[in-house]
Amino acid sequence: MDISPTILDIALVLVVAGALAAIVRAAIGPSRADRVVAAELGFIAAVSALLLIAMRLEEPVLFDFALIAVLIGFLTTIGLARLVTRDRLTRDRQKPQGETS
Amino acid sequence: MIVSIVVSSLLILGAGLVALAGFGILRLPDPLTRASAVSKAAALGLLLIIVAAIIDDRSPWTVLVLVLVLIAHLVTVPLSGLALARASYRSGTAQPPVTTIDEPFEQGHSQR
Repeated sequence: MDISPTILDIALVLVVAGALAAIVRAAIGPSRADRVVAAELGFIAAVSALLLIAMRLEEPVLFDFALIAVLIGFLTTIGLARLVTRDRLTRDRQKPQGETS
Repeated sequence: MIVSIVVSSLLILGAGLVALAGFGILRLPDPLTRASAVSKAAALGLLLIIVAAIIDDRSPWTVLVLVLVLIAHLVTVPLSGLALARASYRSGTAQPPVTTIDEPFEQGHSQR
């Protein structure tokens, strides 16, 4: 707990820059897969910022939140990836029932 | 003193890697390379920040929780990276001019 706060502030600014890039990509991303990738980066930046804030405020309780956040972020990514994939799967499955082409 | 220098450099390096992943997600051309940037650079950045927090705060409970975070992150990052790349491929959006090799299509595992 002897890290200078300036280092932690610089690291927080860098992490927030990554999160802003993820927000921009989620806004302008041409496909849904781009938005899911941006959500993954935003989650990683959020957990990084949580750890940095825990070290900045010297509150070790916040480390517990990082554990929960990592597991929930994994489940979120898997669920969003399944949602993106389902488009293609349902379309392929419905294709033989429609036109013969 | 040396511990402080090591922790500071690990923090700056990890946060810089997360920022670099943000730069990559803005600049790279297609969803596959963007997923690569996120699941390698950003994951390594978070890993370095966790290691810095472990070195910084050496009380037993904190070290236990942070090692659990480290293991959970190490186990889940390859799986989520695979899920991202597979989703972007299966949804048919990963067809940029820079990606020329399509091995699942050549081996007959997917119809495009």
